[in-house]
This record gives sequence, C-alpha cells and structure tokens, in this order.
Amino acid sequence: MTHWRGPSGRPGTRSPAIDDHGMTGRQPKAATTALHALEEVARHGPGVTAQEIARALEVSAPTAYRLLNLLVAEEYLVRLPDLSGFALGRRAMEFVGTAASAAPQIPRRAHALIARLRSSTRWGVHLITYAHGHLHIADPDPDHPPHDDVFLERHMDRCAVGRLLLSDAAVAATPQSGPGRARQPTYAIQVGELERHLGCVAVAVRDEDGILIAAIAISGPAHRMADALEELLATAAPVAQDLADLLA
Amino acid sequence: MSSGSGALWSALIALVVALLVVAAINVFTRRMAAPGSLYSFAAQGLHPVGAFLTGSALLLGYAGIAVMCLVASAGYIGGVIDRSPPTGSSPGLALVIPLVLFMATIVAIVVRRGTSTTWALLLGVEVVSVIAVVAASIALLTAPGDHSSFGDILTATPPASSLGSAGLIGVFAGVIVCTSGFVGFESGAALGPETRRPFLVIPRVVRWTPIASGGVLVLATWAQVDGFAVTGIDPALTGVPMHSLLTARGLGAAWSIPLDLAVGCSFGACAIASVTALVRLLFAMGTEGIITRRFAKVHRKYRTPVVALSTGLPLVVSVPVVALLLGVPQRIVAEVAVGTGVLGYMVAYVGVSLAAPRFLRRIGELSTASVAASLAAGAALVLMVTAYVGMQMSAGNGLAVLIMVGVLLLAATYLFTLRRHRPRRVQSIGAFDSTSSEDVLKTAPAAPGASRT
Repeated sequence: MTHWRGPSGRPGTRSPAIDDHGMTGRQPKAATTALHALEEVARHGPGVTAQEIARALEVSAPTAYRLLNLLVAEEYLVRLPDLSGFALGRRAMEFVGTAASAAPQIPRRAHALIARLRSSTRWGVHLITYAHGHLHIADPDPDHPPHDDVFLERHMDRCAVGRLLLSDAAVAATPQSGPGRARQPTYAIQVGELERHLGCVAVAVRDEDGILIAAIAISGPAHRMADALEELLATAAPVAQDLADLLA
Repeated sequence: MSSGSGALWSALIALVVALLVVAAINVFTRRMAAPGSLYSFAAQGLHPVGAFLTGSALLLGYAGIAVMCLVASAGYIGGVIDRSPPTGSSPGLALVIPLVLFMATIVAIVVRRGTSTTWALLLGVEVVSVIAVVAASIALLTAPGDHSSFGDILTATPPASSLGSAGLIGVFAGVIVCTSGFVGFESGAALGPETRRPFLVIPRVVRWTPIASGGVLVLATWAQVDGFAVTGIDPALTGVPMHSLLTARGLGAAWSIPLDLAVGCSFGACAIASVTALVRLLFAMGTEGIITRRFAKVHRKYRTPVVALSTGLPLVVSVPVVALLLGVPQRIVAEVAVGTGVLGYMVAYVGVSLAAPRFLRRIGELSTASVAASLAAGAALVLMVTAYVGMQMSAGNGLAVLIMVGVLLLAATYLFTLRRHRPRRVQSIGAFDSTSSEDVLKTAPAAPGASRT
C-alpha cells in the first residue's frame, strides 16, 4: 500500500478522489494468477479440469477452485456440461476474439444482391452469416436496424435466424440415413416473439455440401407475415441461390 | 419466537445453521443454473432416488409455505378490513375465503407474467413490510422504560417460569422455530437460468437472503424479549406478541393497521415467491419426463411455465379453501401447512448437503472446508428434522409429519415403478441449462446449440 502525502504533509492521509483501496496485499499476485489461469485454459483447450489448472499454476487446490469459480461467475470461463471441464467463455472471446474470430469478408457482389432485394421490397432485409455455431450480422438493413448479434444469440430460440441455426443443428445431430431422416430446414420464422409488432423469416443459404453458411433475414409487420410468407420465400429463394455461390 | 430469554440465542444459532446450508447450496449455484434448484443440485451428487426424494420434499416445502402464506395474508388483510373481532382472533370465513382466492389470482397473474416490473413491485412490497417490522421493533426498543442491552439478554439466565421450556431445550425448540422463518432462502436459485450472470448473482442472493432476514429476525426478537421484560406480559399468554407489546406501550392503535397491512402484503409476496419456485421445479421435472411433459410447456410470449402454473396453483389453493370450508380453524390450517412446508424444506436441505461433497468429488474439486461445512449442515439438519418431528408429534400436530412421510413414500414408489417401465427417463434426472457451444470460445469442438433447442 502506498501512502499518499497530502498537502499538509501528514503521512497516511489519502486523496478522497482516488480512494479505491488501490491494489493491496496479494491482489497483484491474484490478478496475475487469474490471467495465467485463462492462458492455461486456452492452451489446454476445452475440458481442462480444476486440478490440472492448479498443478499448472502451482497454486493450492482451494485457491484454484475459488479463482476458477470467480472467472466462471464473470463469464470469462464456462464449465462444460460435465461440470468438471472448463473452456474459455464469451467475455474472454471479446478481448482475444475480435481479431481471431473476425467475420468472414463478404464479397461486394453479395452486398449488391442484398441491396437489389432491399429495393424490390418494403420489408427490412439483412444478411446474416453463420460460423462455428455463432451468427454474425454481415449486412444490416440501415432503414430497419436489426437487434445486435449478441442479443440475437442470447435469444437464439426466439429469433428467426437463431431458430434456423438451431433446427439445422438438430437435423445434423440426427442419423444421416434411413427413411425417417428429417430434412434440412430451408427457412425459419418468428412472429411477434422479440417485438410484439414485428415478425421475421430467415431463408437458408447453403453451400454445395448443404452446410448452412448464411441466411437472408426479412423482417416486417407481424400481422402481415402469414399472408406475405409465400411471396417473400419466392423472392428470396433465387437470391439465396446466388449468394450460396458467392459466399461458399 | 417465545422460548424466553433464550430466544435471541435461538435466532443466532438458526442463522449459523442457515449459513452452513447456504455454503452447501452455493457449491452448486456457483457451478450450474437449473430451474429445478435443489432437486437438480441433489441429482449431481445423489442416486436418482435420493434426488427425486429431495425434489418431492422441496415441492412439499414450496406448497406448504405457499398455503400458509395465502391463509396468513388473507387473515392479516381480513383483519384490517374487518376490525370487529378482538385482536389475535381471525376474521370470518366469508371474508377469508374470497381473500384467499383474490390473493391466489394476484399470484397467478404475477407468476404468469414474470417480468422485471412485477419483481420490482414485489421487492417494493417486501421493503415496505420489512421497514414496518423494523420500525415497530425500534419503537418498542426506544419506548420509555428500563431496557436491557443486546449483550445483557444473551448472557442473562432465563427465568425458570418462561413457558416452562427454558434452558437448552427451549433454545433448541427456538432454533427450529427460527429456522422455519428462514426456509425458502434458496428460492432464488430456481431463477438461475433466467438470470443474466447466474454464477455471480445467484450465490450472492442465496447468501444475503438469510443474513438480511436473519438480521430482521434478531432485531424483532430482541425487541420482543426486551418488551416482555419491560412490560411484564407473559409471552405464553399472547398469540400476537408485537400487538400486545405495542398496545401495552400505548402504541397499539397507530401501529397495528399499517403493521398488519404490511405483514399481509409480505405474506402475499412470499406466496408469489413460493409459487414461482414451485412451478419451475414442476417445469424441470416435466422437461426431464419424470412427470408429465406437459409441465415443460411455456407461455408463448412470457416464456413462463404456464401449464405447471395452471395445474399447480389450483391444487395449492384448493387445500386451504376445502379445509376452511370443512370447518378447520384458520390457525390449524396455517400450522399444518407451515409444519409440512418446514419439514419439506429441511429434508430437501439434508439432500443437498449430502449431495455437495459427493458432487465436488465427482468433478475433482473437493476441499476440506466445503466438506466440513456440508457435513456440519447435514448433521445439524438431521438433528433438527428429528427434533421437529418429535415436537410436532407431541404438540398433536402429527398431520404434517404424516403428510411428509406419505409424500416421500409415494415419491419413492412412483420412481421405482417408473424405473421398471421407463428406465431411461429415470436416467435423465438432473438435466440443467448446460453450456452450449455459443457460450464457448471457438476452440471447442462444434456441437451447435444442442441444449438450447
């Protein structure tokens, strides 16, 4: 602890403006250990256990447990479904990830296709890309600003683009052959789930292997969704086809 | 709360036991979020049968406390509307039954909506009622007269006459009564999956709830013990100590209406909290297919478990209404309900305390401190459950014990039958809102969205 010398010269009085208790005692060490723990999880990959981290950091097991629980609480780490393994969490991604997980570059012609679709309809048109189970808004409609991607991922099961991803994943998880095999979804729809008066349909864009790579999201008034759906799908289908060639 | 001067000790010991249970529960809340709360936690460390018994006990706990809160809230609010019956006796059935139904309707509306506005409103109600109780306690403690300090009361030897249950047994009985004031402090855990940062927020909520309510309890106990000493009223002769004391100090008329109203609303809020947790537990069991999957259905817009609500709440409400119509006095209905509820909670707490060390060993995070806390909590609870059963039986309140035992037997039979016919469903006990790949940085092997569908 450093003693701030006030104007009166009395030692031990600290400026009220910077009275945040500073970084005292073992805190610098704890902060370093926390960063090392993150590093250790990143190096080992998902599934590393608390004991392995404790050994690698050369700290006592209870210290490691407390530290890891703290990092999980702050969402820098997450526990895997078996609850014993750890992986880097969303917030760790925010500071390491922006470069590593940068959204794939969208060719100019893809933007042009979306722009043409926009000019042909009064509905909002957005281009969303998918990678590794995440979604990214590649081309938001400036006249109908969509929710941001973090919000959409948090409400995966309520937005059309999230539902498309989830149902696609569900199909991918089922056995690949047999008569009962579910078909890959071509679109997903949501009416009034995120905003009472708005609805959205997400039309799948797939590469030649049938992998879901993007979606055209078309949003507009909820009460018109049912009537307009067929027409919207018909309009979007050829654009989705063209986009598949550009984005694959 | 009237085991003489030992009451204060009882309140403090009860707080310590509650904190030990908190330690065991937070082993789980720091690591997982599940709508089934203690049931889903127990499943991580116990055999499926143990987990299901914990879950059934917890259901009974929620239901018992919900019934008690509905009746008590109707009683207090009824007392404010109709002031003709003498203080301490209950208002007439013609007033109480419509009030129970009215409170149940409010519970249904709030739990169905489940928005943050309604929670803010609930918090407001609780804050007002706590302020009322604290203000009444302070008024008692600062009224003119010869007061005893906190330390004096703790060190004083209890007079032999107080309730005839002075000494250790009195303190012990008091601990159990005080603990019954704490049960339900873990209810927040059921909202884990609906919380933004559950592993940060839920452990905090679970830790601070008993500390805050314990603080109020200790203050109110102090005020009452002190009040009885100053006024010379025999605690055994009054059913409503706060009222008798306030009246004796000449504060009665001004205090009793706002106090009754606040306490009535607070019981209403407690009913809402119990039903909120109850329907989430039913939802969790429904999702796993342990009970009918219909309970897993949520409201299209509010995302609340409406089917569980529309089945569970009428059941909870019908119990007191039928009992009252059959002529059972309100006091007895509330006593049996609270007895059943407290027993249910305590058994569920035993389950989670036993599960905590086994869970930690399974995931390889066992530590001496957590084992010690869990074992201490488990031992204290087993002792208290035994004593509570003894107390209830000797007080002629065997019905609560009978209900508890009956429900546990029924649950065990049900699970064994289910295991014979649908073994895979029993395996699925303990599902929770696990990490899906969207939460994991991309180094994870891809398994997109498996648990969020």
